[in-house]
Amino acid sequence: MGFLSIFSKKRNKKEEVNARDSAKERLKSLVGNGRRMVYRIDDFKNPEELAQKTAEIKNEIQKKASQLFKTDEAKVKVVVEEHNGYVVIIANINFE
Amino acid sequence: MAKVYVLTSGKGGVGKTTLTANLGTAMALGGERVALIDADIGLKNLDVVMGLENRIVYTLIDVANDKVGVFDALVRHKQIKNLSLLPASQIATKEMVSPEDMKKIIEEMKERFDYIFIDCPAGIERGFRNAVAGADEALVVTTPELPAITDADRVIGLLENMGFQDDKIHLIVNRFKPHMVRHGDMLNIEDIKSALSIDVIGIVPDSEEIIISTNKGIPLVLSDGNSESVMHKVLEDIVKRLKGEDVPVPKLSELEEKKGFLEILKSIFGRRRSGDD
Repeated sequence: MGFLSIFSKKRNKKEEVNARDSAKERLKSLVGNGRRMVYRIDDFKNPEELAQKTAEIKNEIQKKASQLFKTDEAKVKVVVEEHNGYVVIIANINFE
Repeated sequence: MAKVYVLTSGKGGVGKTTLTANLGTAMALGGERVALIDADIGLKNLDVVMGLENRIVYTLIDVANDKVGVFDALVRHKQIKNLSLLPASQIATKEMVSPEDMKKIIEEMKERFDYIFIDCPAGIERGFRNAVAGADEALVVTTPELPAITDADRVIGLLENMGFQDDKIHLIVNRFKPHMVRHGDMLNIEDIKSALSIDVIGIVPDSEEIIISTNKGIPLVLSDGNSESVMHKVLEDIVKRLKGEDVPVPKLSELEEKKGFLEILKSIFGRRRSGDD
């Protein structure tokens, strides 16, 4: 029995999928061969209009935040970012 | 005017900080004026890898908030006077700095340095955007595993989206294990290169030396007794390529440390003697 199991183990090892080949195949399906595509908001919106609206939003938030927290407007930093088709607004208020 | 490189990856734990420390140090050893910026606010580590954690007075946040000037916050390296670090704060968050702040800080630093290396945090959110904002070129770090490569792919897409041209994005494959590639257990460089379609500027083999040097707070390229090692050569060659020199990327066999018979014996007996178990 033991003698036979030596050969069966060898046979099983040969049938194992090579880790590199498996990774290569999976990588191909995950990444593909083409260039990666990330859309920007200005692919869909007029960039000038977007910039104008962004500036308006920033000013409004800056004003409101400085009133609410009774701090200088210069101490309120507002950043508007585009994350894959979403607009993320970050307001940073320095109380020092 | 300095050339600014950001080391980024998407995935955490691939060796961005260690590579920032070593590439910056190797560059400074060649006589260039180098600054390292830790953009990993809240989870800073670059100061620890550089062994400068006890010398920090001001941080990037203090500079962004106009509390001090950028040159007041720089920490000069103990041994290499032309190497400085702009440390990050541990108690702040990435949202407390904006990409505009970073651009302004880097513009100011550019005049006094030849090269600036920015250590980018993991992820693709605010910290990534901050770190990338002021950079001229990106060094995307990956390890030869699927999660790291797919994250690198995502990051390359974002970099392109932010305006980085193809020739400004370079790949560093870290923790590469030639013996695993030889046995068919790991992706080789060509596999990674064809998946990511960007130029490979360096292949860094997996090494215990890196762990030792990090624990000591001395970048590997600076530690004694290792100047002939493969790791030294690999890191120095990346620096040469960054400077524009034409240095070929090493072959698989050149990435392994060649051990003599005596060294093999020494490593066997040395390991046995120092083993705790």
